[in-house]
Formats: sequence, structure tokens, C-alpha cells
Amino acid sequence: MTNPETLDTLVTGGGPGITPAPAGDAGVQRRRRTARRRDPQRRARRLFLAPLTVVLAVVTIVPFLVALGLSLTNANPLNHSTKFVGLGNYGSLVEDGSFRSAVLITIIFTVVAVAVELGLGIAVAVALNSLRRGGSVLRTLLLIPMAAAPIAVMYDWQLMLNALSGVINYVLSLVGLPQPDWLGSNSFALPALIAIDVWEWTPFIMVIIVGGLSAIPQEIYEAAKVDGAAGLQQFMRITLPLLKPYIMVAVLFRSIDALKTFDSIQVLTSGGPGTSTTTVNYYAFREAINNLEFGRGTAAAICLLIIAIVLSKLLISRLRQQRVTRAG
Amino acid sequence: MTVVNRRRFLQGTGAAGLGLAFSGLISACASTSSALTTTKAASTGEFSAANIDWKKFAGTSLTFAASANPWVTAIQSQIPTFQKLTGINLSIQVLGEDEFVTKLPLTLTAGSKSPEVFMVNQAGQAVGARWVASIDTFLNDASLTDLSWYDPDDFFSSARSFAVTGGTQWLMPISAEVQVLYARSDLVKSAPKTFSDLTRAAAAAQSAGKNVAGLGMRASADPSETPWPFGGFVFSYGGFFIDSSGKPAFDSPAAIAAMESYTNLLKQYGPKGVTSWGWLQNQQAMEQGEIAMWADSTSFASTLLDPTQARYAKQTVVYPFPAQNGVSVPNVWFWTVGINNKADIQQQQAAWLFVQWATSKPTYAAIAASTGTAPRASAWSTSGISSKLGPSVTSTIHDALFSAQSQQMALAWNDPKWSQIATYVAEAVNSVVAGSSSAAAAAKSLQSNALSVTA
Repeated sequence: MTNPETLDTLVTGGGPGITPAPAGDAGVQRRRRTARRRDPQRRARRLFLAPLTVVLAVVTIVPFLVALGLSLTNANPLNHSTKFVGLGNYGSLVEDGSFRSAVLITIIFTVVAVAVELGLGIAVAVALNSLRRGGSVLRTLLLIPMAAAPIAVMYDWQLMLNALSGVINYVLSLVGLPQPDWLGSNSFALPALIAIDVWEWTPFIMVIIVGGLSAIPQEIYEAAKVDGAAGLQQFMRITLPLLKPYIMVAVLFRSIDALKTFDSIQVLTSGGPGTSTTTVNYYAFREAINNLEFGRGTAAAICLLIIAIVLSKLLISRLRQQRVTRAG
Repeated sequence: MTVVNRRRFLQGTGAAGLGLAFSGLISACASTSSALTTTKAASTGEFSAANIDWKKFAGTSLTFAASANPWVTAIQSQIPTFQKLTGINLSIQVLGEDEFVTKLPLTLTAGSKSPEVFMVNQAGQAVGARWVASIDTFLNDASLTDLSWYDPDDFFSSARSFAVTGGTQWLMPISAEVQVLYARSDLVKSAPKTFSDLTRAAAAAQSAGKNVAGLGMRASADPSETPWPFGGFVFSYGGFFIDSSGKPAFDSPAAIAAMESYTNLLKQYGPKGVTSWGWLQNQQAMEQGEIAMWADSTSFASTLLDPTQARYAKQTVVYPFPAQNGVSVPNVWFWTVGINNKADIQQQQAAWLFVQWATSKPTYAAIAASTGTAPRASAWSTSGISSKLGPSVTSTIHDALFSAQSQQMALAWNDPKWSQIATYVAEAVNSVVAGSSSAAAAAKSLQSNALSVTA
């Protein structure tokens, strides 16, 4: 795993060999820019990256532009001519109570799931890191939920959460606890989906944090020990601050994925009971694929993209602040 | 409250494991037994009697897109006969129903010429989007069709009229299902004739049975699940989903009464967790005897009555759907096939030869034993279906199909916006059963949502 500074550089888009000029030295900056333009290695780097850039543009930028265009129309196979409606689809989404509810459910799901995954992921990573033996084997086993095929996993959860004959309610009945209708109750359906997401994706955060922990020099802990710092103090004053860049990256990646969660909702609840587990992604799927309302569906998907971009910007700016603080 | 004990858990896990193995392969209205039944092949001689040049399109290649279904499984066994008869190369692409209903509209929206023949899940959508060619064009073409041999009038009238929109037949029915009431004869001694009888029977069965729910029905928020059985209640109460003028009618007194009846039965006598149940969960529960009754499609009869697949097969009986004020309108479903309107004319005509062959009397006589149903009346007088279901059940189902009214379901199914409206129907029923809304409020909200879509 790279050290935090290089990680920062990767996340914020800088490149190797690029040294920002001191502020105010315009002539030096101009000369450096000219030198860079004439640098044959820079040209070669661009040429090597060109095919990948073209492929990325074709498979990401072009579809995005097509989707954006669709979101401004009333495209539907039942409409024999497609008309431009401007921001009409977006306006109807804002007025649609079920879309607003989907936005709220998406935010709740993402915030709660990622927060729990982060806490558990850090705890498990720290515990694994402190093991003298068996850590690598345990780490591999803990990756299984993340590695298994998602749809197959969701069907297994559907069986286990069956209110009548599922193993979870069976175990609860053995110990005399209530056996709720996990997937059919308004109170339990969303928490059940969050719990499944935590089970499946905590290993992802654990892997990133384990990498971060391995990059922290042990000398710092030894010095802290000499100074009389206890375990918790070491964790709060050394481990956590040095892990912050990794935590930010883990939160960023997990949040974007959590916003897009679909398979568990499709298999387990179909967005129900009622619409209590309908997220923006599921709403967009229903509109575009079930109802063939391509304009509305892509507009909902674009809204989700905007939410993801805003979230990413916030997290990346925090990451940059972390780098500036450390450099200062 | 139903208690989960070790025995029921083990039973449920075993049944659920079977369900998991098959859940990706079978459609929402399919039985799990059809793949295991051997079909006899129809001989080419039976088709030579038709005044049709079967070899007219020899050498042509066709693709048939299908949703996993007992009829599809049976037809696959007959494909060598078709290929020998016509010289047409036919490939069948089969997907689970969830994948099929998602993938096919996208393929056809892109204007693809293939598949040339496909099963149709939403007639209103297929006709409204101009994905299908008129079947009347081919039926009335003497160079392609021998009407006296094909005998379109042999189809149940409800089956033929199911796929007629604006006076034009756009699709051909390939299977026939009607809503019936499955019951455990040890807990439900006689057929409930009315919905009041049904309520009393559910209450009595739940009291008498050990850890048995009185009645199971679909209640999940999935639009491909719950609206269908709910429709039988609405139609029997005298209501409509979409009335004859094309307007949603969910807030009529009849529809609201049906919503109350359906949801109250499930809230009081339904199994635990029924709000997330579709046909698969209900079928498993009926097989294991965990529900005393189940109101659903005849397509499950062959599995529920098979002792090798259902623990309570010997105690399971099939009763006619109950009535309200002397009116019983069980819902019907006919899977249909259509011909791709974008395909070349020659491909369309070759596709019609396949459809004509696949829905002919000899083919249904050959496959009836494995499908356990047919949309043709003549198939029910052969020994095939009776050998699979038994004479009594065969008679019950035949009578139900013969007298079925498809107009109410057809009005909804042929509406171009039905797929969107069905989503609201499923959500409404699901929310009432889950306790987050009253029946009247849900019906009114449903009506408002449906009107916004059809406006």
C-alpha cells in the first residue's frame, strides 16, 4: 500500500514529477510550463495513455451524454415520436413524493451502512493487525462475503430471513426472542437490508484499513510506549490520525457503491413493503426498465449521479485538507 | 402467531433449498414438475394433412425468445419434428421470467429484427410500441394457413379474445391458466362457495391445524406477482382494474370492497411474512402443508398434486374460485407469442409457420401430458392432461377455463400503461397487508397514481 502522501496525490489527480512552483513566481512558472510542453517523455506518456482514454471516453462519457440527452426528452417506446421536454422530467421528479422518499431512503441507507461498516472495519482490521499468528488466514476467510456472487448471496439471505422457516427466526425462537417479519415489515425491512450490506462490505473497508495500518511505522508506537502512552491513547493519537486518508478513501468508495445498491433490494424486497426500501437507483430502474419511461428513469439516474458527485467532492476536499494540515 | 420449531425449520429449509435451485429457472406462473415429464413426439404425418407448404421457408433461420415455462420446455422436445417438417433452423433463447421481461423490451425498443418470435408479457406495451405484427394478416393468408385444419375456434373464447386489441388479433395464446382454490382436504372439508365461506374456512383451518395459516396468497410489492390473484377478487366483486372506457377504476365501491376482503384475509389468516411472498413462497408453503388454502393459478396443480414433490399432495384438492353475490370471476392468464414487426416479411411468414405448428392440435395433443394445460378445448379431451392431474382436477380446471371471462383482465393487460399501473397495484396491496395503510386510503391513492399515468 502506498504511503499517505502518494495516496493523496493519486486521489487528488496530481502526477509524478509535477512540482508546484512557489506562489508569485510567474516567470519561473511560465518557463516550466514551456519546458513541460517540449518534454518528449510527456508526449510519449500522452500517446501511451491515448488508447485507454479513448476507450474510457466511449464506454463512460458517451453513454453519459446519451443518458443526459434522454433525460431531457419524453422517450418511451409507446410515444411514437420523442419530444424534447427540457427539465420537465426533473421537475416532475421533484414534485413526486415517492421520488423524494426514495432520496431520503437512499441517504439513510448510505449513511447508516457506511458508518457501521467503517466502525466494524476499523475494529476488525486493528484486531487482525495485532494477531501474531493466523492473521492472514483469518483475513482471507473474512473476505468471503465480499467475494461471493451477490445474487446467489441475496437468495441465501432471502431463505435465512424467511419469517416462517428461516434459520434466523428459528434461532431466535430457541432463545425465546421475538421473530419479526424481517423483509415484510416497515420497521425491519430497511434495517435488514442495511445489516446485509454491512455483512457483505465490511471486509472491503477492512482490507483498506489493514493496508493503512501496515504503512504506519512501528517506531512511532515504540516512542509512544516509552512516553507512557496506553493502548487507547496510541489508537486515538497515532493510529486514527494516520489512518484518516485511508478512511476517507474507504468512505468515498463505499459511499458511492452504497448509493447504487440494487441487488439486495431487487431480490429481497422489490422496493417494499410499500415503497419503504425503494432507493433512487431502484426507482430509476423501475421507471426506465419496468415502465419503459426512459426520460424519467435517466433523469432519476442523473440525480443519483449528482448526489454521488457532491458527496465525492466533499470527501475529496476533506482529504486535501488533511494533506495540507500534515504538510503544515 | 406461527411458531418456528426445529421440524418446520428443517422442512422449510429443504423446501426453500429446492426453491432456490429452481427459482432462477421458472416463471411466475410455472410449475416445477414439467421439466421432468417426458413428452411424446408428434409425427410429421399429422401435419401433412394440412394444406400448407411447410417447406416454403426451408433454410431460413429463426430465433424464438421465451420465458422459462412448462410449455417452452415441452416445445423444445418437439423442435426436431418442426425442423424435419419445415427445414427451418430454430433456436430458442430461454430466460427466467424476471430477466425475460426486463431484457426483451429493451431489445425490441432498439428496433432489433431478432428474435422473430417471442413470448409477450404485456400486450398493451407490445401492441402500443408496435413490436408485433397482426396475427390476422397471417391467419387470413391462404398460402400460409389452412384455417380448417388449424381451427382457431378450437381455442377457448377467453383465450382468443385475450389478445385482441381494437378488433385485431395481435398474439396467439400458448398456455391457459385460471385462478382456483387449493386446499388441504383434512382442514377444509368442503369447497368454500363464497368469500364469506372462505373467511370462515380460513378461520376454522387455522384453529384446527397445528402451526398452519388459514390462507396464503401473493402480497409482495412485485408488480409481476400480486396484481394477478388480487384481480380475481376485484372482478368477482364486480369491479375492474381498467374499465371499458379505458379509465382506472380502483376507487369504485366494488374495488375497495375487494381490497378490504383480500387484505383482511391475509392480515387475519395469512402466514407470517406474507408481505414478501410471491407464488414461490406460497407454493412451498402449500407443498409443506403450512397453509390450509391457496388461491392462485392452475399452473401449480401438477406440482402440488405430485407426491414426489409435495408433502401434502394426497390431501390437496382443487376447488373452484369462490363467488361474491353469486358472481365468480377467477382471473385468467394466457401466455402468448407475437411475431416481430421489424423482421423482414419472409422471416415473419416463416415465424408464423412456427407459431401455427406450435399452437396446432397435434402439437398440443403431444405436449398436454407434460404441460397439464392447453388453451385449446380439444387438448382437454385427450388423455394427456387427465393422466397428469387426475380426472376430477382435470374436470374442475377445464370447467373453470371453459367458463372463464377474460374481458376484465384483458382490459388491463391490453392497456399500454398497465406495467406502470401494476406497480402501483402491487404497492397498494402490499402496504395494506403490511399495515401501513387502510384499504380505502390505499385504493384512493392507487386510483390517483393510475390516473396520473393514463392521463
